[in-house]
Amino acid sequence: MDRAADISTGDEPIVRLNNVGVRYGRGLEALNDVKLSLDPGSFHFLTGPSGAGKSTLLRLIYLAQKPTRGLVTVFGIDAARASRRTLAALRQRIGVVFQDFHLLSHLSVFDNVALPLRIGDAPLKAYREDVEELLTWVGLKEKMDANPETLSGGERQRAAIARAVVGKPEIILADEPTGNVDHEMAARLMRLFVQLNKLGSTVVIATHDLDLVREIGAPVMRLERGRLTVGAAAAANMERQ
Amino acid sequence: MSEDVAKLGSRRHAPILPRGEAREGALFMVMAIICALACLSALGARAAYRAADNWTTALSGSMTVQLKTSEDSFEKASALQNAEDTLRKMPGIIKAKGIDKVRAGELLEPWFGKGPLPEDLPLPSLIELQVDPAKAPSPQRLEKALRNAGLEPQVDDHKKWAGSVSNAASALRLGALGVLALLAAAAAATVSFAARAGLEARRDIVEALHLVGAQDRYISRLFEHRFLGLGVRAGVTGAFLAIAGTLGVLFWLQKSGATHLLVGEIPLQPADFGILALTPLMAGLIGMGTARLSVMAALKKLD
Repeated sequence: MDRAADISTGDEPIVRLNNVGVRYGRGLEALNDVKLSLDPGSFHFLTGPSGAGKSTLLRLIYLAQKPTRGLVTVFGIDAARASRRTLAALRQRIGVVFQDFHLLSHLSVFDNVALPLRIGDAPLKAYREDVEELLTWVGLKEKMDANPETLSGGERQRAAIARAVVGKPEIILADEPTGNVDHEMAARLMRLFVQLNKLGSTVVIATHDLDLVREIGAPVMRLERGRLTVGAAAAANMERQ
Repeated sequence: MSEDVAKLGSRRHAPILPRGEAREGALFMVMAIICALACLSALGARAAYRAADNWTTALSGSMTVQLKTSEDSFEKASALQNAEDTLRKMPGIIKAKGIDKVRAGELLEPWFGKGPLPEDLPLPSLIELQVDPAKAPSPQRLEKALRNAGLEPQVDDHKKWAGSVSNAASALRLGALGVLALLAAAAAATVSFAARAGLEARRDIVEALHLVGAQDRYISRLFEHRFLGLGVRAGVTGAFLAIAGTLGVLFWLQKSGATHLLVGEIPLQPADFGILALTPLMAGLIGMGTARLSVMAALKKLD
């Protein structure tokens, strides 16, 4: 399989992109004829050089952007036709780790991580223990009342990961989630993603860390100049890099 | 759950929208001043309306009769006496009293000053009537009765004046309502501007909320609660400023000796306190409603 990035196993795909193109202004297409199906409970790496369109592809999947052309469905719903209310409800089922973390500087680490639960109007007592346990797991127990601006890059990254997974989302998207942490912490965080994947979450991790990709051994999608390849072709492209 | 505080043991959430930003203080001041002006405008309209009501009531209980007489003082006095006697016998007349030179001097004091009037000043022969408004005879009936008594009268029931006063009061009331509407629009525009500026300034918060799946209504509610609180606080402050302003005006009028006309209508009445009590509520609702409209519209443009 080359550009036809259908990696479905036959189940109704949780994410589907068909002939998707994204163009910013009048420039070249950031994504070009991307075709992709992700099954529920699957685990994928997304690789490619900087500027290849990885962040754009992730933005399409977490519904922060609409394609210039083509079809994007998430949880079986056409993103282009969905109302703002529906899109927000779908986003609640997706956890995202952003490259620049998107942590709020006036909130404590605890409050940042609890944000996805707080917007669901759940009372604090219903999730306090879960948040504290997760923060302990990512090694931020002692920092849960700290301001994110006082944290190191790696600590912020772990806080961002904790926020992305705290609601046990059905899809987890992570943009370079181990870029700022040491190898030991990277392995620990990856174990968290694998664990969540085993519990049913679909995971897509965009990374430059080829060792990590080889270590986990999950299917690879590769983006180069806006074009997506998957499977053996993608792995071969990745190894040639 | 409330934006501000969800407390459990020692842990509590910080507000998602941070408090205490510099522009909130400035906005609070602007809103408080607008609320104070709105209160003063409403109180002023009520005072003007009450004054007009009292004046028209007073005018409807009085009439003035002018007699055409010669300049001879004996004939003048005789005609006045004749008219007084005739009028006092008529039903609905409570009091009929000719205006003598002393009373005329009092009435003309603002123009001629204190002291006796000039001897050669021609004064009309006037009779002040106090009538029962419910049984007051018509001017035509009074004129007929006086003519039958051999007099040449002209009766003024002050309806023209009362009409003018009533029209002036209506104009004042409309003007005050217009000012109120303008102030409400100014408050709404101010809040709208502030809400949009707040949304733009805290775009990081809005984006973070958006990306974790917060509905537009959730984000909007954060701003609504903030501006509801701000409006209520500004309304309370504005109401107190208005009370202080009213008492200040009253004190100044009394001190300056201007104790006639409006001054009697200025003291606050129970209904005025109702207006003052409503001000924080109205300011809060305007703040909340405007914030909701502005933020919802701005959020739709964010994507």
